Formats: sequence, C-alpha cells, structure tokens
Amino acid sequence: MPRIEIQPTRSELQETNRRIHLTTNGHRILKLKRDGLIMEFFKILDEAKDIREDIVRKYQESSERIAIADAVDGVLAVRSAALAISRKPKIELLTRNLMGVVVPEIEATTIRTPPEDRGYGIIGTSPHIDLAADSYQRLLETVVKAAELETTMRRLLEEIERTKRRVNALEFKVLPDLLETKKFIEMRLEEMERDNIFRLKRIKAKAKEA
Amino acid sequence: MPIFGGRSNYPYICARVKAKKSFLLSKDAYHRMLSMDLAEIGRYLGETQYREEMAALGTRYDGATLIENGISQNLAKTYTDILSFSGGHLRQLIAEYLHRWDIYNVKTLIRGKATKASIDDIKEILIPAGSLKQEFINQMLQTTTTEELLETLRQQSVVYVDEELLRNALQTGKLAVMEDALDKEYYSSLLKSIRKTTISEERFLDFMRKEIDITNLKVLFKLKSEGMSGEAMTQYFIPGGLEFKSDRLTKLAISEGMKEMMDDIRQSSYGDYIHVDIEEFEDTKDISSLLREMDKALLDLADKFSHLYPLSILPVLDYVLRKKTEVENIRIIARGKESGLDPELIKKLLVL
Repeated sequence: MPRIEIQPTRSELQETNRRIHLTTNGHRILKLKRDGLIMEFFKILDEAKDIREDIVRKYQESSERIAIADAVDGVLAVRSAALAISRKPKIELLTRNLMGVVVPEIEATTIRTPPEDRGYGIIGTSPHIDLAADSYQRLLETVVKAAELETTMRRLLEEIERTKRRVNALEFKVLPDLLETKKFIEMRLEEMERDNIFRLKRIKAKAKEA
Repeated sequence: MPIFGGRSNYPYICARVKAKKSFLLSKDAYHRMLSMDLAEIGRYLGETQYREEMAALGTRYDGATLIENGISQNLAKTYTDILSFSGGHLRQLIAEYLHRWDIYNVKTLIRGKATKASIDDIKEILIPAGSLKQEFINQMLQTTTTEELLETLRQQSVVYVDEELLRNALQTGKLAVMEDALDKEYYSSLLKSIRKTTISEERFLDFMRKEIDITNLKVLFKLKSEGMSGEAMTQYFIPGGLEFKSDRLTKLAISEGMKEMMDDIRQSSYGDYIHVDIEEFEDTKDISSLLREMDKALLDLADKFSHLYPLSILPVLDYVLRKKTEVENIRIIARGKESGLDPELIKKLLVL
C-alpha cells in the first residue's frame, strides 16, 4: 500500500490491525488448504500411478488377444463381429467437491457387457473374439477411471498452484505490507503524540511566562 | 437348399479328395514357416498349391494380408472344386456342410446393414465361399430399409432367416438371438438332410452330432469363463448332440465348479483330448488351450471316421476340415508374426 495514501489515524490503525488479523487467519487457513490439497494429490497420485500401470498391462493384454483373434479367426471374421456391435459405450459425467475443488466423477455403466449383449451371436462367434472384446472392454473401463483420476489430479494441481500463489502473496507481500503500514501508522501516531506533548509543554511554558 | 440331381459318384470323389489331401502341408512345413519371415512365407506358399492365388494377389497385397487373402481364396476355390466334381445326394450333403459359409456371409450382410456400414466395408469382409449368388449379395448391399432387407431375404432360398427375429434384432440392435437361431437352423437342416439309408450315412450323422457336441462344449467353456448363470446358458446349446444331450449339458452348465464339469466331460469320448490343468484353468479362466484341444478332437474324429468308411462323405469331410485347419494354421503363423506374437505362443495356437 503506497504510504502516501495512508492516513495515520487511530481508526486506520484499527482497520489495519483488523486486516492483519484477517490476513493471518486467511494465511493459516490457506496453508492448511494447500497442505490438505497436496496430501490429497499424493494420495491420488499413487492411485493414478497404479492405474497407469494397469492400463499398460491391459493394453498389452488386449493387443495380444486381438492379435490372437486376428490370427486364429482371421481379420475378416473379427471385422465382421465388430460390425455387429451397434451399442456405443455411454458415460455420465458428474461432479464432486474435493476441498473446494470441483472434480469430475465419470460413471460408465455400459462399457462392460455380457456376451449375450455384445450384438453378435454366441454360438457362431469364436471365443477368441469374445476374449478380445472382453479385454478391450476392461481396458476401456480402466481408461475411463484413469481419465477421472488424471483430470482430478490436474484440477488439484491447478488449485494447489493457485493456493500456493495466494499463500505466498499473503506471506511475502500482503502481510509484510500491512505490518509495515501498521508500523508506519504507529510511528506516525507516536510522533504526533510526541508533537502534541511538545506543543502542550510549549503552551504550558508560554502560559507560565505570561 | 437346392436338391442336386445325378449319382453320388463316391469312388471318383474320394479318389480326387485323396489326391488333394496329399497336397496338404506337413507338420514340418509349419515348423519351417515358423522360422521364416513374412516375405519368405509368401514365397514358400507360392511354391505350393497356393501358387495361383499368391501370384494373382501379389501385385495388390503384401505381407500377412497377401497370405491371408491368398489362402482364403484358395480355400473357397477348393470347396467350389469339390462341389463341382461331386453329384447326387453326396453333393447335397457336401453343400449342406459348406452352407456354413453362406450363413457367415448372410450374418455379415445383416450386421453391416444393421450398423449402416458402407457397402465397401461390408464387401471387403465377405468370404468368397458358399453358394450365395453375387446378384443376391449386391441386392442385399443396396438395401436401405428393414423392409427392403426382408424382401431381399425372402427372394432367396439358400438361407432361411426368421423375419420376426430379424425385425426384432434390427429394432433393438442386438443381433445375437437371430444369429444364434441361424446357427441352430444350420445344424438342424444338416441333420435332417442325412437320410441314414447306409451305414456310412449313419456314421456321418454320428460325426455331425459329435461336431455339435464339440460346438456345445466350446460354447459351455466360453460362457462359463464369462460367468454366465447355468439357466441362461441352456438357450445357447444346439440340439442334436450325440453324447451331450440337453439335460447333460444343463447339468454341466449349472454345476458349481469347473472340476465337477471337467470330471463329467473326461468321462465322455472327448475326455482323452482334454489335458488342461483344472486348478490353473480355474485361476486364469483362459480357455484357449481347451478350445485348441476341442478342435484337435474334431480333426481326430474326422480322421478316424474317414478311415472307417473310405467310400463315403466322411473322407471328403475329413479333407474339408483339414484344409480349413491348414488355412487357419498358415494364417496363425502369418498374422502372429505380423503382430509380433511370441513364437512359442504361435506354436501353441497351431492345431497340428
């Protein structure tokens, strides 16, 4: 706060004290929020790491299964079975509040389907195609879960960054400025007090002389 | 199905089929192919009975696609050849057996139409085997509404499609019930076409009923591994099996553990072919090895039956199955190599 705008008055000092108190409280709460967010982030990070590994593993498994289906039944039979699938997976995007951060909650209800609902016949379709379809459905389910976790992580990171900036701003800019302002007002008030005393003394002395 | 005239020329057909059988690749050939790269496999096939197809398609395709298309065309040509030199009731039986390709193509056409796939996409995945006329295929490809599709199907007599099931399938987008009905109808019609006037035809009937057993067991393994309930499973079994009739299959379907089910299957004539470790199977639910064992069982049965009645449809059937297996084995090697599958896994997938 530029000092030129500061009115060194008692009410201003009270206002500055009130703001210092508010800022200190805000700083403490934001620090708690930041720490909480970081803890939450690390908790999700572990889960996200696991799910990433899971995706890689499931992708390898699905690739192998589709390669086996292509090899055993032929690319034509696999493509023909794929044609029969008309139902596309549906996902519902909900939100939840995580320490003030709105994060997505993705509900996928129609990704994994039992064999009778996949579209193609049970008797005439090779089990290798079913195994490949099942693997890819599992993979897709994990991808949706990973998308939810990774978006949550990204939102948390953004919020952590924002909170960190606020904490730093309060800690290194707002609070020191306010303390400096308080110090300035106090000094000015003390100086004014001294001026006043001196002035009163001078008046008293003049009154005595008279 | 069309009724074919003329005499069933068994000695002639069986001699020709025997000659054709001698051209089938030996086990050593597969082992050699396993150590080759795709270009070498293509060249090697170019020196075998696949010469014509590999040369004709060589300018359009390469790698595994060339090999797959080449061997598929050769398979279709082989089936057409067999039909062309057979006559009478024998030809009808062979045609009934090969009718499965018509069913496959009709299913693909309906799938394509149900999901509004492009004509080119559907055309690309039709298998050039079976007796569907090109004119019918073109008409099916051009249809745009359900009514047109039904009308086109009504005009042919090769594949019977239940209209109500088809209408329902197209409305709901779930083709499974209609497709399963087509597969059941295929076996039912095939069983009906066998006259049982000679011992060889009776054995052919036995063989077909064993094939139904094996198909039902494969369906059972698949659905068990998917965790479907026993009651729900029963609707997917094809009636007419020899050893596994409806009630036995239902008992297997509702049995709690895999062990109980396997113990029962091991008591049947297919038991000798099942070598999987039940505990490992219960853990992994991987049915691949079981399926291969079932395919081997069918091949072995065809071989046994063909030796019992050398002048019957059984040697023809044995050859048809062996040829199909050969094509599948070559494709497994080619596609497996293309996808970078582990050579040991490729070897395991082969039905030898």
